[in-house]
Amino acid sequence: MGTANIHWETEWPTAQERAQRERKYLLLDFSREH
Amino acid sequence: MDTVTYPQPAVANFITEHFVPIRLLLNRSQDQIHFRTHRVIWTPSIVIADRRGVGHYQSPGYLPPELFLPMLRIGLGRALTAWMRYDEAATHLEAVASDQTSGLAPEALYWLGVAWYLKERRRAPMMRAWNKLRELYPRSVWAARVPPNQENEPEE
Repeated sequence: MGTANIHWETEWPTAQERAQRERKYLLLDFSREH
Repeated sequence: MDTVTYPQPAVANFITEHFVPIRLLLNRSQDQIHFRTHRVIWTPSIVIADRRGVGHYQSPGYLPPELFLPMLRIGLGRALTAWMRYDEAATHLEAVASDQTSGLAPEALYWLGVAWYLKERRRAPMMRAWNKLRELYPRSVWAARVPPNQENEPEE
């Protein structure tokens, strides 16, 4: 079975940037670096 | 999560299609405000939020792919319901509920009933989902959340 990549954003997007992603919701992954 | 769950194509593709994925790290000082805002006290945790940053669903801890994907659908369904996108919410919740082997099917049925009620403001559609919930998963905590004698209540 293959694998796929997720392109995580690591900076909190500005309100304008978030508005441009119309109708998409935010998936916040709270993690810690290992 | 990065070694097992996220690399699964079904998971990664669903995330790319439906979400803006943002990684927030406890070790990064600029991210800690988000831990406080969303009351996240444990890693890993997932929060599904709208574009204003308002959280609608939280899932603590690790999940394997076979539970992570339905959790995403439930969380998305919750966010869509909050934004009155009831038909889209129902699509995701029904997808989870249709897999009776899934440990998340009872939760999906509960929120499906809520979405149907909020769409039509009638108990009958809600009870279709909730009766199925009580019939199929009588011992689940989600069935216990259904008040008794709902069928006998008059429609408003």
